[in-house]
Amino acid sequence: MIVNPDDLSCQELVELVTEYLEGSLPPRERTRFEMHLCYCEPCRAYLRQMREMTRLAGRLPEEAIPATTKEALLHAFRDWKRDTGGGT
Amino acid sequence: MIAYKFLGSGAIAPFTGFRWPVPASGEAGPWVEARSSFPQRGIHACREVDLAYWLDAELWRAELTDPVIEDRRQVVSSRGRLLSRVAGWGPEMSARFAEQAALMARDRVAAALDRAGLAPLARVLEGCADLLDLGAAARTTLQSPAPVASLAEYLAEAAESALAGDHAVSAYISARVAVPSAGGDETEFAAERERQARWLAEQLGLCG
Repeated sequence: MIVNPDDLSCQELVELVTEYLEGSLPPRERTRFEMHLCYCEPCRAYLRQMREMTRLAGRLPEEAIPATTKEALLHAFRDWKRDTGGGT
Repeated sequence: MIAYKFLGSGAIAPFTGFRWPVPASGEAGPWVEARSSFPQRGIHACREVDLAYWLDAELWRAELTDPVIEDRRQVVSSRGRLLSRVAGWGPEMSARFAEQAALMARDRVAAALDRAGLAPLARVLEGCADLLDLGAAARTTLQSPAPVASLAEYLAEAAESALAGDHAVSAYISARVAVPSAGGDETEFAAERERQARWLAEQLGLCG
């Protein structure tokens, strides 16, 4: 389906979801974001999942992460930074 | 300002999950204040002309206090309340709304077929009075030359989405048909959305 050029595409919505959830989208962009949700059930499901993930992640204290998982994550982040050029 | 607000079942705001306090025994509901930083975060509602963009399970009349910011597709205030539920809006009206939008798209595609010298196919489409027939006829028309086939695909998707109960999706696709039918004029999309909103307002007795 071709969308109205004034509307967001699903890809744009995914790129903007963090700003939307943080409430930092400008009003016009917020309107376009929500108008897309009105006719796109997959994006509504995606937003629900992101909200739920944010809610659950917010409950997770650092102490709750097992030491081995924490070390694996730190290792992965170090590798990722090295692989992407290690910018500041 | 009196405006309209589509909400999910149980008067739940579709995007924030906020449960709106509903009116009791014929009185207006309690006022709800925007949490902070109006107008970035405010009470959102829509005008009659915006109705087609925001479909959801429940439609409410809402009152917003001044100042009200009128944006392109909605209005925003720092304070609002629900006045009454629009009784005529529900699954049946939603289905009728999608159907009339698809039938308008059918007429646009038939006119395009006529212009392309495909009058017999146009008459077949015009003879379809329900969505089932329309979807099937549109699928048959997909064998036509490219520009017409593309229109027919829109039409088939509009009919099939409506039959599947995806009324908002169906009405959106039907509105998109207006653009290629008019040679690519993007303003036709908004014009068709306005026509859909007028139809809805008339059916629900919101006009005037």
